[in-house]
Amino acid sequence: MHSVTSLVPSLEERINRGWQCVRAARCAWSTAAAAVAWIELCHDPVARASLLAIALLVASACKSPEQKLQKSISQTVSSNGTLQLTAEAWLDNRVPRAFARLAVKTTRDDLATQSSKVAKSNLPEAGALQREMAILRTAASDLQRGIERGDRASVIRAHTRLVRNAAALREMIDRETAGTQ
Amino acid sequence: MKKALKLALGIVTSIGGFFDAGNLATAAQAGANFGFQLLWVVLLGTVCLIFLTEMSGRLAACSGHTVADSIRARFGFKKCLFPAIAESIAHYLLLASEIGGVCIALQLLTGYSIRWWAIPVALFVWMILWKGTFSLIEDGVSILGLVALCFVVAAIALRPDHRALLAGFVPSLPDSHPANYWFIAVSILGATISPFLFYFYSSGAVEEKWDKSDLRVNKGIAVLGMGFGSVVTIGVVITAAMVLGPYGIQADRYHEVALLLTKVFGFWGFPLFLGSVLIACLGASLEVTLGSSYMIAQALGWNWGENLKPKENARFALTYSAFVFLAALPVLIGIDPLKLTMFSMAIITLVLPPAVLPFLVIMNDSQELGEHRNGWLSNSIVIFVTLLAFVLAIVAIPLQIAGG
Repeated sequence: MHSVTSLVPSLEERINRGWQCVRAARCAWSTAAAAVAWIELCHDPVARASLLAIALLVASACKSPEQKLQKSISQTVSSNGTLQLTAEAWLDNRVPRAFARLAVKTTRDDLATQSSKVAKSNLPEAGALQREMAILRTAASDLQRGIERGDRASVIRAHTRLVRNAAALREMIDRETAGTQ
Repeated sequence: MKKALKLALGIVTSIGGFFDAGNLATAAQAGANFGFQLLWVVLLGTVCLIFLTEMSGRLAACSGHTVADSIRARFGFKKCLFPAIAESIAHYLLLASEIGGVCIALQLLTGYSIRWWAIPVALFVWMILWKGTFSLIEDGVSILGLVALCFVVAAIALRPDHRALLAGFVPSLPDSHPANYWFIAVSILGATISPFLFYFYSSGAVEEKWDKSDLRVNKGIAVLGMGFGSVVTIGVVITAAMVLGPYGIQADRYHEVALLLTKVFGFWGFPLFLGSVLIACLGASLEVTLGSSYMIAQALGWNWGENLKPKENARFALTYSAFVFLAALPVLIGIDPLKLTMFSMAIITLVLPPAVLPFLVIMNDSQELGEHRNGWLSNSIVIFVTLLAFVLAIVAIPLQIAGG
């Protein structure tokens, strides 16, 4: 049973929602203003119609914070999968060490970029994603060290963590998909 | 006997020359993100390409003119200037992504950054163009490109579900990420029907002095060569769906795509992948450079020909030299080659109507082609696919860019 306090949005949640509204309004306003300006400048009806269509498309493509978060989750799943597959390929001697090192390093860099994007999100689910990303980054660091030293045992341990993390991320993506639908 | 050999060589070079960075990138993303669901787009693009290739060879064999030559003669210089500029920009982006593909293969092989490879690769491409002949470029590199058939072997070895595979050839809507679905569909069409292909093919036919006796060979090369060539792309879609899909890998980086063949071929999967990318992108770099330079030279009425010495067609040689070195710049400044490839494939789709529609007008001209002019079937299919690709591109590109 929910307590009364859990049903009333906290001050932080209210501020977050307010920010979301401001962002959505800013996106819609800038698109509409640009469209109006172009339509005023342009006298050709065909060009007007096509500019309007493009403006509407751009406006409809402005992603909500939830959609942005969903994209970040998909990209994190992709990074997790890449690390997992690279570890498996390295353990089976299917790829050279230089490639495995490069793949892990690039994926770690991608994760760092993704993590900084998620940090800007005010959604409550972003915190859970950041925790998963932190686990993933640790596993990636261990994987990189293991590959560099040729230490199969630590690569196997990192791989096990990646498999577990993949399951957690899949659950998260299912929840998010259900939420946005 | 001679014709049969010509046909066999033509089919083999078409299969080898079909595959490039665009096909690899778009097919891998299609398979990894949407399973077999986008196979219908590969089929649609291939059918259109078969018709366009056959038409450009027929034009050269019957009239002795290339596509760009005929368009300039029919519409005049001023009217073909805008399409020529638009196509040159699209070809420039395409060439940059092919050079990027070669550089990525070298980076994965050596560990040195793609930036270090941009100028050496451009220099190597330029040297082949400067010193080589048309036959060397068309036959030599394309035959080496047959290594890409390893993707077909991998797809067969992975034993895909036949029902799901066949269902992929029927157009369907995505369950999620519609903007990404249509953007990849547009990019597949752009990768399959690049305008440089018909400039290259018709110019090659003129360089090899085709006549009406070559019409059957032309039809055979177009149908069998391009048809079998697309099987490699289908192989990549299947392999990506079955290897990368289960891990949730989106294939938006080359190092992710590089793992495609390791499940089937074990240790040899990685070298085979690198070999396929290196040869396919190198071959495509040569073809794109030549195709674009042919178009520019013919549109401006210059002397042209890969079999001529550079001093005999100085402006043509200058055009391809400038084109190659300028195309190395995006790689040199560090633009991600895979993203550049996806973007340039979509841009190519936008320039399809100005490239294809004037060509169709020529192909329906009885004065130019007599009894060999187009029938209703080829006209309808080419118009349908070109306009569909254009409309999809108009919708999908802004959605994808705005959606990040």
